[in-house]
Amino acid sequence: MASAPMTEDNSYGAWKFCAWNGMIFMAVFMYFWGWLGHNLPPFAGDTPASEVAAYFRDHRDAVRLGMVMSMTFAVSYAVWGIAIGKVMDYAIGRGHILTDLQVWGAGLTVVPILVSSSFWLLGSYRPEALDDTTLQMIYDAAWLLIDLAYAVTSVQMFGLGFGFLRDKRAEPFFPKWVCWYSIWVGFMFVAECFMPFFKGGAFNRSGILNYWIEFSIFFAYAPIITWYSLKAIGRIRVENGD
Amino acid sequence: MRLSSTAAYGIIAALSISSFALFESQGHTLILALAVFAIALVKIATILNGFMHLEWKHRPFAQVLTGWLVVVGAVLAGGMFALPWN
Amino acid sequence: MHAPSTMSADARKKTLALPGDEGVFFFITADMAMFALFFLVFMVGQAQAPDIYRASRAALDPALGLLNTLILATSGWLMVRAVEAARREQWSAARRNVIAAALVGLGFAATKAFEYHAKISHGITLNTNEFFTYYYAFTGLHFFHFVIGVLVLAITQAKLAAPEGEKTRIWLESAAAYWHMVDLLWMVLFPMLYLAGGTA
Repeated sequence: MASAPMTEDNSYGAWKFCAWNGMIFMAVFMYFWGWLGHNLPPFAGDTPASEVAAYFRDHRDAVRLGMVMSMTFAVSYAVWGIAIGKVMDYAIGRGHILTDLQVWGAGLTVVPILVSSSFWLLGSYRPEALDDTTLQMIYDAAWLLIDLAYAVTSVQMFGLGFGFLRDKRAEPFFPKWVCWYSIWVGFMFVAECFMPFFKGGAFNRSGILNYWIEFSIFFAYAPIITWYSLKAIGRIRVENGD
Repeated sequence: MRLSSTAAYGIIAALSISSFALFESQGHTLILALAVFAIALVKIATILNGFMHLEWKHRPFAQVLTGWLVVVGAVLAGGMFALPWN
Repeated sequence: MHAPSTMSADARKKTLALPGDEGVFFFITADMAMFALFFLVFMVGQAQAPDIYRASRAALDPALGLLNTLILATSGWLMVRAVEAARREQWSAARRNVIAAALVGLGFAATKAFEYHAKISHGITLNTNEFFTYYYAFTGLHFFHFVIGVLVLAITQAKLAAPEGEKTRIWLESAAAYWHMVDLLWMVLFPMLYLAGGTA
């Protein structure tokens, strides 16, 4: 049941490609940002500046490559959000505020990823000319931004979760548990507020809670949402007889 | 079998006061610590049954939350056994 | 949170008769899993530094912890009474019980504020040591859940002022289930932080 007046040209191929951008983002992020950028896990807050600086100096090309790719593909997160938003248009009618929140939340999530990646890139550009403390500060700046920007992603997650809960189809596009998982992850991000207060332990940027758990629940999010989005697009195509 | 909400409330309140009284009077031993945690788990089971009205037929939540009680019980007990006691 | 308005979902709900929306129960389960992890992290930390934890625990007042336990238990009981009233379609009684639950529950906030203030004014903060990191973080996150719960209760009592039958009942049951979760998590936090493990 197509519930909103839409363009006749849904460009299903392009739409599905946009939905796949969630997985493209994750793959690039994990390898290039995570592995090459030494963010999987990051240096603990109490790591000596000399060690952080040594990483930039010894692995400058790996970090440069990692961040170049991370910055290029940061926008994939927004593209993904737009694809999800179009599914939300069909689920709950065009122009719903929850759809706008989801799309904007996904779009704004690009900002901390882009900017923090640029800081790591900065550290790798001429690390031989910078002292250890400066390089540490650059690394710290990137992490403080990426962690404490959580609320923009929470907005996406709340928009998505509460939005798809309003789907009145016999078989909703997104099952209830997915909606509530989205809401829950958005909610749980608030623990990142503790991160700036700690250099070590469970709540610091590399800690079991503020890194491993928070990032794991986030990394599980993209495949789940992508899966259901792709299924929905397929159903919409059939419903529209295209 | 489901507890009435008032019975559940009475149990939870009484158990809470008992664990406080145990703490105040008995000193600090492994047995006390385990007792206090056992009381906590009984209170939680009472909440699940007597307040939430969760019954075994409510799959999968009843099973998962029962599993939670077991796991948390193990974590709490394990935490106590890992401590040095005089 | 709303009842799916379809045949198969309704039939399924009748057999399950879960006391609340299953999506909310998923959220509750996920939250409880997260707190179970918090308990594990605390126990591991305590085993590695028992003297620090024990000395720090002595600074807590178990009487305040007990008071908070009884406040939440009472508030939870009032929510059950609200649900029972709603099942009898006594919407005004349900609403009164929800309001009472929220007002009693606010006592928890008052006690917490008092406790935190007392500690902070004695120079005990999040960074004092690992015990107090966990004390503030876990009771703080629990308190965040409590605040969301109070907001949910506020919305619930408003919905009960203009009830829409089963849809409102399911909302109330779901809100109550969430509120009971806030209660039961405190049932572990109280002994874990205030009572068990020794204070020497």
